[in-house]
Amino acid sequence: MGQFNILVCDDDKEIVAAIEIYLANEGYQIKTAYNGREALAILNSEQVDLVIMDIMMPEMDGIRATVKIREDKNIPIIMLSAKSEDTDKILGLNMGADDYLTKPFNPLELIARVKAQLRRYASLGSREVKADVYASGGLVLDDQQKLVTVDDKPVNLTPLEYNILKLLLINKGRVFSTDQIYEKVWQEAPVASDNLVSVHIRHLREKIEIDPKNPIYIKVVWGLGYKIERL
Amino acid sequence: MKELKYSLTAKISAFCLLYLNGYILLISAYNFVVGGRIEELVVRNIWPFSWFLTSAGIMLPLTIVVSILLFSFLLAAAGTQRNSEELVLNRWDRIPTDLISLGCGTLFLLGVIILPITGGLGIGTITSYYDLSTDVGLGIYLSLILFYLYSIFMLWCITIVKRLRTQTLLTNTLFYRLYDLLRKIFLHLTEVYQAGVAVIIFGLINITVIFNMHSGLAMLFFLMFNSAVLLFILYLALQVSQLKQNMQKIAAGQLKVNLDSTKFTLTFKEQAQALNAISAGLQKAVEERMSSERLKTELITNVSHDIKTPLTSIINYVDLLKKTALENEQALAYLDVLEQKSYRLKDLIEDLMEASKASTGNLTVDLTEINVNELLKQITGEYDERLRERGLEVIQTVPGEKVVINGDRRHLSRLLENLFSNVKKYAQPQTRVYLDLEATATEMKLIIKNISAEKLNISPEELMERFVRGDKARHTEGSGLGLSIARSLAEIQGGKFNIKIVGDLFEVELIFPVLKEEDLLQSG
Repeated sequence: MGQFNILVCDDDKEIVAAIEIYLANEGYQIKTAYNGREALAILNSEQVDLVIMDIMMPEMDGIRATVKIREDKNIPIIMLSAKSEDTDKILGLNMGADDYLTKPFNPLELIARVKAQLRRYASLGSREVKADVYASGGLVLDDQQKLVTVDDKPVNLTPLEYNILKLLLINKGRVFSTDQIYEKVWQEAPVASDNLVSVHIRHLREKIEIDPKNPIYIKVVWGLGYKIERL
Repeated sequence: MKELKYSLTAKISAFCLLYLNGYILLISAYNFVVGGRIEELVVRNIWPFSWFLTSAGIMLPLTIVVSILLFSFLLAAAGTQRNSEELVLNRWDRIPTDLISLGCGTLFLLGVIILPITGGLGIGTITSYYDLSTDVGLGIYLSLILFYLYSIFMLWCITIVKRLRTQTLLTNTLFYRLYDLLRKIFLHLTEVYQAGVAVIIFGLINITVIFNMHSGLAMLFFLMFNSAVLLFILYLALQVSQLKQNMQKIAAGQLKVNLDSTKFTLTFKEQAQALNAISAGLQKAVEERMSSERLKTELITNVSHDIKTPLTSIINYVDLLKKTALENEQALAYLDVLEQKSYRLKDLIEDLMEASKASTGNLTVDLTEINVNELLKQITGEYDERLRERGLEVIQTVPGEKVVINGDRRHLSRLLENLFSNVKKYAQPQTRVYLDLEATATEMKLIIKNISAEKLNISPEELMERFVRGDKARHTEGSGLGLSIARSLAEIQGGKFNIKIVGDLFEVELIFPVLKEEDLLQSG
């Protein structure tokens, strides 16, 4: 996976240190900054492939730093903030962040999001498309080998789970209702009040998601159905 | 010109000039009317009038113009004083208008009566029969009397003008003072006595008029008086109804009321003012409450942010500690406790923020069409195993046809998640949970029933209060905010949220208006 340089920027030194440990374990090179100004200085002098940025920091906050970075760089920026309101997330994403994670965060989720962003950044437009291979971020389904991997780790799925995942992955971004999924996968007329599909989706999520409560791949659109995001 | 107004000499000169001018005017006018006759009859030799009299054609218009100018000047200069913006009233000006008019009138009349008596004849006759050139004494006497009349008239004019300009013409009258006194006495009475006095006066006036009904004038007065009283009573009734309407408005919660109290009379004026004060007070109280709620939410949000940052480190370093090869079994067990509790703290903080935002309406609501059947399948699928682990069996009754409501996807799912996680936490294991969806043409009702594991000796209202749980011991997981959040979330989406407790049966009822077929077709 090559040597990626990640800049971690947070005014809380212990959080920076913890993130450094987690990401170093994954083989990344870490650079640290404790406010927006320092982050900009490092970005000007060194090669950085991804930024993890806090919002509330002294001297220059993460939002302003992000806007500054976006003036001349399109590297992925993941915001990591204690602010969990929708308005904060929307603001962060609108100002140029690629992803938004709230504190306290699950380290595994942070790593997964970092990998997803780096993968997309590195392979933007150059991914070789193999036949019968469907992917979203770190989730890859190879229909020839009947193999599903998440971040290169194989996942064991039942045939029904596999078929549900395949349906959603082939039609990335499209929402399927439970009835539609039932019809397509079970190939039977749907029965009212049957929650078979949602139970299977839950199993599927437990197997492929890092945090099944906050899924990255299989998203629930409440009252409408399920979909897999284009990552 | 302005300076002239302040000069006493100018005023006195103008006063005298006006008199002389008037004298000439009178004679010129007489001469003009009578023509040459006066010349032969009387005054050829009187100095200095002879010239004026012969040239009446010029003198008449000239004197009229001069009179107007001087008269205007005197009126304009009345009461003015150097270094004073306002008009200065002297002792005479303070005498009631009606009194001074009466006095002036009397003195004037006296002069008019004396004039012919002492002269023996009227003015007309004087000029006809007396030769003024020979009887100079009579001439002087006549002039003095005329000057006396002129002075009284002018002084009266000046004081009236001053009164007009200081707006004391009507208020400074005996009649008004009497009226004012009576009015004050009347207004000092309580409403009951006022009504009594009014009715008595009304009766007395009517009786007096009725006893004099034989005169046509009395008849007219009777009609006019009673019409006026009727109109006045209608006017009062109008004010009462206006007051009532506005009071009802306030009672209905529309607090902004601003009555124009100048349009009300008597006791209603005070009532209107009091109503305005009530409205203002309530508005202020509501505003204060709103701002204090906002402050509370802000405080909770800020404190949450501040707690989350150290909590992040706690969670991360507990995790890192677990990953370092710890030999000691005990230490690992302790770490597990730390991990559990730190995650619980995280959940608590998030619940607290959610509850404070939901209850103050600080959440954005994004209403879309939501298929309730689908939503129920999703949520029951989500909780299927968690409930089964505790031996809870869900029995669903859901209609075959689609039930669609307007709601916010995230808030609605959060609401149902709260309810299901409550079932999981608080339902007696090995019992059944009933999930019923009922839909009519206008609304849907979702009912969740379960048997509580703990005794529910608590009212539904209390249970929905923040931080209250069925088990007072508080040893289960959860923040005690679930139901409070659920209710707030239902309300901000336009739904209703009810709780019923029958013995150990705990029942939650969620009511939402249903979207009709045509609404769905319209929105595509």
